[in-house]
Amino acid sequence: MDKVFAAFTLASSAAAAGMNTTIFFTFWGLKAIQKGNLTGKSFMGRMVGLMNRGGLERLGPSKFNFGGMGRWMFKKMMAAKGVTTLTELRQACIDLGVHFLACKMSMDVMEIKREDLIPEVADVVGAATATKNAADSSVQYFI
Amino acid sequence: MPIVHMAKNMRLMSAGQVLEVRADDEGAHADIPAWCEQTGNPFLGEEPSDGFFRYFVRKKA
Repeated sequence: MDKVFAAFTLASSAAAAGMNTTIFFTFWGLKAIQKGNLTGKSFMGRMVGLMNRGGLERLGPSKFNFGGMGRWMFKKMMAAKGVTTLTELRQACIDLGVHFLACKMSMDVMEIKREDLIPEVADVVGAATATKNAADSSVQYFI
Repeated sequence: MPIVHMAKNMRLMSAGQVLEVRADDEGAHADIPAWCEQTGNPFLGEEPSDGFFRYFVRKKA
């Protein structure tokens, strides 16, 4: 939740300033661009999909989640202060033309298919593409 | 997200037009001029209003 906030906030700001912006989602980061349906094929893959289904509404904070209590509390605190929701932020990124790339290797490991991701994801790529994008860019953040 | 809304609206405007942004977000004091500097759109100034600030930005040619 907090990390995804950082990613979408920085990306939308950069895109708003006219910069060509890409987010490369790996491992748990994929949860931010999943539709939220159950995933996985093997027993363990299905367990991973069941325990963390993904989708923006289900993301918890990286610290102090306490089995969902933290997520509830932070959502409440953010709403009270009128902070933009993750859903709105992600939509802003999409509207401003931020490219969403998903990590192929993470998807293989976690048994997440292309259809499990939101349709706005531009491509499924590997680390080589991410490195090339980073090398061509002037600013990179690792979150 | 005043910056995102501002950027979206600026895309729809033609050169020379002035956008008035109203924001009660304290970050906007620094962020709006910073955005203008980065994008090259002239920042015309800000003035306090009732519970929020008004910022004026001209779309560059």
